[in-house]
Amino acid sequence: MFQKVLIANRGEIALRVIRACKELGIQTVAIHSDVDRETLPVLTADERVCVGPAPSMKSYLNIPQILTAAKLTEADAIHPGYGFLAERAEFAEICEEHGIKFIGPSARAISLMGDKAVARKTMIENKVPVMPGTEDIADVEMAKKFGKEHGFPIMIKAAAGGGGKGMRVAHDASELERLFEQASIEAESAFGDARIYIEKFLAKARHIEFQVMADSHGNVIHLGERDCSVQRRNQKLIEECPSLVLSEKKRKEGGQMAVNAAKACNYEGAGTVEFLYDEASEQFYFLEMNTRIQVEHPVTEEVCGIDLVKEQIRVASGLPLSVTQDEVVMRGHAIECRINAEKPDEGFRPSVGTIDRLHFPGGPGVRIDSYLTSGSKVQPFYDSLIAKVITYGANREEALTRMRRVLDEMIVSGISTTASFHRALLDNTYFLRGDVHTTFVETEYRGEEVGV
Amino acid sequence: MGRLRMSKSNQELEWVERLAKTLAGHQLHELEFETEDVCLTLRAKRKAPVAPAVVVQAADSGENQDVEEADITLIRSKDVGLFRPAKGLATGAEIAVGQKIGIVEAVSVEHDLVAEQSGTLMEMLVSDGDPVEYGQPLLVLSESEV
Repeated sequence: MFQKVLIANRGEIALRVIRACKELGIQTVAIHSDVDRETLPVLTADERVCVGPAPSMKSYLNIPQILTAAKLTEADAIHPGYGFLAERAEFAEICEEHGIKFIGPSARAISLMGDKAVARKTMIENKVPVMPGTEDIADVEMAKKFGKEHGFPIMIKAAAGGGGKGMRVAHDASELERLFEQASIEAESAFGDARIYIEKFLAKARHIEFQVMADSHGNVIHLGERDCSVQRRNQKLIEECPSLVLSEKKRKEGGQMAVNAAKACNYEGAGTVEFLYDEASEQFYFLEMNTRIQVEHPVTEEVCGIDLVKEQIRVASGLPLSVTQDEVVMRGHAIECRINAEKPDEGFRPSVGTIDRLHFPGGPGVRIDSYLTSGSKVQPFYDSLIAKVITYGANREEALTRMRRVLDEMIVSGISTTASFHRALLDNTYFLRGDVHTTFVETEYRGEEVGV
Repeated sequence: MGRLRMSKSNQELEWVERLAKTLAGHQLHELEFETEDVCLTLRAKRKAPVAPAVVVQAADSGENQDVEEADITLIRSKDVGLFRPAKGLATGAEIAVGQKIGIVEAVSVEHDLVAEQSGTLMEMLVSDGDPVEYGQPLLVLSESEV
C-alpha cells in the first residue's frame, strides 16, 4: 500500500480522496492555488504545497510544479480526482516516468478512450453496440448520404470532443449543410482537431452509465448503473441508482458490455461506460468511457455499499479487487443533487462570494460531500459545484422524500445556489414518474421554471 | 530610534502583510494592533498606498515610543522546488533590480530568482536546499532610508 498520496485537485473531490486515504492509513499531500490556501481539503491534509496562482493553467494544471511538489514531499502516488489532469494521458505518462504511481488507468487507455472516433472503433471491434454512425468524414456530402440512409435527425460530433462539447443536431439536409461547416470550425478552435463524425440522434434517450472497476490482475467487475437523464445542456443535474427503467436482464446485459469495454483497453481502476438507452427498443448505445472517478460516484457507493475511492487506491497499489462480481449486491435507492454556486433565475450565471451561514442537514440516509465551511469563499476561477447532496432510502420514494426534507433544511447563504431549482424539480410530475430523457429539462420542464 | 523586529515565521510575516493589505484596501492612514506581546502600527505612505510602511515593535520595550519606519519588501518564490541562494548572498547585501539572487530547483528544470525591487537584504527566511512553494517569502528586503 502507498505511504503517501498527493491529491492533484481541489474542492469536494480533493476532500473525498483525503478522507479515503485517512481511512486507509495513508499520509496525504494537498496541492493548491494561492486562493485556496484556507479551504477544507488543504487544512485537512497532512501536508500542503502551494503550486501557483488562482488560474488553473498556472496551478491545478501546472504539471511541472505538481510533479516537483510530489517529489519534494516524497509522495509515491498521485490521485487526480476528476477534471483538471484526470484524463490527460501525458500526465499519467510523466508520473510513470518519475516513478510516481498515477491512480487511474494507463496513458494508453486514457488516450484510446479520449479519442471518440478510436473509442467507437474499439467498441465495434469488441461487440459493444454504438449508435449507427460514420467514421471521420471529410465532407458534407458523406454526411448527407448518411442522413438519407438512416433518417434525420442526426448528430454532428467532434472526434476530439466529449462532455457534450462540439455536438450539433441537424434535422434535415439543409440544416446539416449549415451546421457541418460550423461544427468543423468549432472543433478546430476548441480542440485543435477539426475531425468530425456523424451519428444517428435519438430525440428521447436516457443517459445510463455503468460503473466499472478493474485491478492489475485482470479482474473487471461492474457495479450497476446510474441514471443521469436529468441534465441541463448536457450537464448532469440529478443522478440516481438504480435506474427505474432497467430490468434485471437489461442491467446484466449493460453491465457485461461495460466490462467488455473496459477489457478492450486493458483498463485499470475506476471507470464509467456511458450509454444512451432507448426505452422503446430497450437498446444500449455506447457514448463514451470516462477514465476517472466521476462526480456522481456516491450514489453507486450508497447502493452497493462499496467505497469506490478506497477501492481505486487499493487496486492502484497492486492489490486485487476486494469483491467479485457475485458479491456486488445493489440494495435500496440513492439520489444525488449537484448543488452549484449559480443563479438559476439568471440563466445559471456563476455566483461567487463568501459563505456567511452554512447548515448541512444530517439524519438517517443523508450524505453531503462538500468542501464548504462557514466563511468559505466561492472562487470565480473554478467549477461551480459546491456540494453533492446524496440521500439514500429503502426505495425511490423514501430517497426522494428525504431529499426534499434535506433541501428544505439546508442553509447556504452569502451566495446563490441551484438548491431551489433542484427542490422544484423534485415536485415535477414527469420526474416523479421517472418519465425523463436527456433534454427533459430544456423541453417538458421549460416554462414551469424561468431561466432554463 | 526604535528597532525593527520581525518574526522569522512565514505565518506571522503573512499576517502582517494581510494587515497591510487591509490598511491599503480600506484606504486607512494608520492601523494600530495591540495584543499582550506585540504592538504594531501600520502607517500608509501617500505615495505608495498599496505598500504601506510596516513598523513592528515589542510592546514591553516601553522605552521607545518613537517608531522607525521601514519599507519592507518580501521576495517570494514563483515556483515549487529547492531554494539555492546565489553564491555569497548574505544579509546586509545591497540588491539591485534584475539581480539574480538564486534559483529554485524543480524536477528537471531550474527557475531563476530575480529581484524585482532593489534594497538591502535584511533577512533570509529560508536556507540553502530548503523546499519552497509558490508564493513563499524567501528574502526580506528593506528600502534603504535616505
